[in-house]
Amino acid sequence: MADPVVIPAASVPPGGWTRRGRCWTVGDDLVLDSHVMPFKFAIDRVTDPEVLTPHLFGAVDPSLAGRLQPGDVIVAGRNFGRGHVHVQGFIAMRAIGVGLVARSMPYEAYRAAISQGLLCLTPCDDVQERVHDGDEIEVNFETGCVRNHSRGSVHQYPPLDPLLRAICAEGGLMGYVRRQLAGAR
Amino acid sequence: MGMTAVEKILARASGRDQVRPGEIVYPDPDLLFVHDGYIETLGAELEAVGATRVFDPSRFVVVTDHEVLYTSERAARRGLAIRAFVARYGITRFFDVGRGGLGHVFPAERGLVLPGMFIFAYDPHCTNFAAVGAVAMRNVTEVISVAATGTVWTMVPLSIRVELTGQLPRGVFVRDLAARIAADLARRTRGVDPDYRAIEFAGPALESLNMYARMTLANAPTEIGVGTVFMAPSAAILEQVRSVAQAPFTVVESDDDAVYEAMLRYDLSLLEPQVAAPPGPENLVGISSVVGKRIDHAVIGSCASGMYEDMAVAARLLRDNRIADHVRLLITPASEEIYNRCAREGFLDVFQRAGAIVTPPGCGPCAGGKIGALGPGEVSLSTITTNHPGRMGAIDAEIFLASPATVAASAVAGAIVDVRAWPTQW
Repeated sequence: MADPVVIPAASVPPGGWTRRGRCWTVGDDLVLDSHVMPFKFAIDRVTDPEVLTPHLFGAVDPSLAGRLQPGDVIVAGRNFGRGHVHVQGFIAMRAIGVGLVARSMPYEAYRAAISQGLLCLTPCDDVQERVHDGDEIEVNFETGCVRNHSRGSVHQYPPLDPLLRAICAEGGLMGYVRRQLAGAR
Repeated sequence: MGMTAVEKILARASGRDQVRPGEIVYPDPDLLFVHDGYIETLGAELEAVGATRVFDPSRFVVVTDHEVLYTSERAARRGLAIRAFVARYGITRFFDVGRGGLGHVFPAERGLVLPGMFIFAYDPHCTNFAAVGAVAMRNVTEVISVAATGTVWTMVPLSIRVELTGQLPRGVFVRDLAARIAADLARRTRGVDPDYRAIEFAGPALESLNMYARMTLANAPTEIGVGTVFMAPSAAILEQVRSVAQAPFTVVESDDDAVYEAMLRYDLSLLEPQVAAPPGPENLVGISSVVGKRIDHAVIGSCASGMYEDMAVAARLLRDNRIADHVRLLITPASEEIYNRCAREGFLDVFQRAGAIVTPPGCGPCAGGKIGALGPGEVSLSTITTNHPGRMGAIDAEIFLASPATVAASAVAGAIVDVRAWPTQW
């Protein structure tokens, strides 16, 4: 048998568990390899955030990437990140420092987001009715609480699982594995 | 409240009495499978995370099926890197080129994968192991976590039960059924979302399916994003497994009061031959809408349809026939065992005389068209696992998917045919 897995207590990721900023809504059924990030970067296995971030959501709105600020929150609809799973879009979102809230995500896309250390909250069934593009919102990924400061409302969704927060805290799966191995020695 | 077999197997692997859908667990796998296409990358990742060993060399299986026949110096260099990896980490279950064949098939044939096992694998089509009552889940790029630490976070999936009744009509095969079920799930025509669900097959029609047919059935849902597949092994399958089992095993079945998100029924007698048109397996059409479509290229093989019965039906249709002059037909028996059986029963001779090319056991052209690729604008009718653009070479080639019988008959005709209307006895 293998040694028991060492799961370190979750520390805190850069920027903490909360994101507060502008809400950007991006709609339903966005495809990772087209709407979120051009396919060519997946084919070429580009992982440099400097290269990727200017192209984030370029197919939805070419000006969007340039307007995203750290702390902003992307609010997506159903089935966010469908299609074949590649990580480039999630690398860019994490590098900018935005959070992701989605009504639903295919499991593989959700895995890829967590693996890249992106804070994401899903499923959030009615989030598209509760927050709107341009609202100032605050999302606590540790508690699942979404505050809409523009409208003065508070909404509760399933929080990010503590086991997955441990991965996000290490900047993603590679960092988490590195930490586990260091802890085991 | 009872548990499904998938929940029981995940609970056992996670050291728990019970688990529920949505929970996150860290299962300890009985085996980890990684194929030749990813070993070099995994080696670099192990170094990057500072790993000096793999979690357990005796449970780490390396199979060679994606590039069995080196067609470049690059491939030969990759072979050297794979052998160096195996030596460095002390991997004892290494199947090099020409040994075993397709890694989703031969480990079950040889009793390495057994009922009740929990398996992690790099490659998504590991769901084939449901054919012997094991539960296998894909890791893809997260396999580094399993290789280095022995596990990775895993969410317990919701289960959908699919009951099979009735008998397939003549000319209709399990491949047609598998394609139909996968497409229905992908298009949500039965009102359920297949995303990361465990699909559990059951019902009287499943009982009669052998290990190979069950692999075909377990293979298709993977392409449309399910989490895993399960089938309780029949008495016949258990007898076969016992004769080859390399270790003791415990059969796991779902409780009568297990909870399913949905129950679907399929009456096999109502099916007709199916064809998946580009750009994906969900674009499934009845055979009548594509009959007459001219083809350039055909493949019979892959982890979906490279089994003994697939070869046998192809041999029946190709015997005393020649494939059309403008068609090239590649046939890939999935495993060494299937290849040897084809040789003993004279199928290889039939294929050769028909003008087909037989490739070594493994993935064949399905592994990205490393062999037998398509050129721009060409049309293929194949039994490979998926028909996304670029799967076998040129991005603008068209790939249609069908059963081995439809593909063999169409290769002879030079265009897609309905094998039910084949003019001679077969």
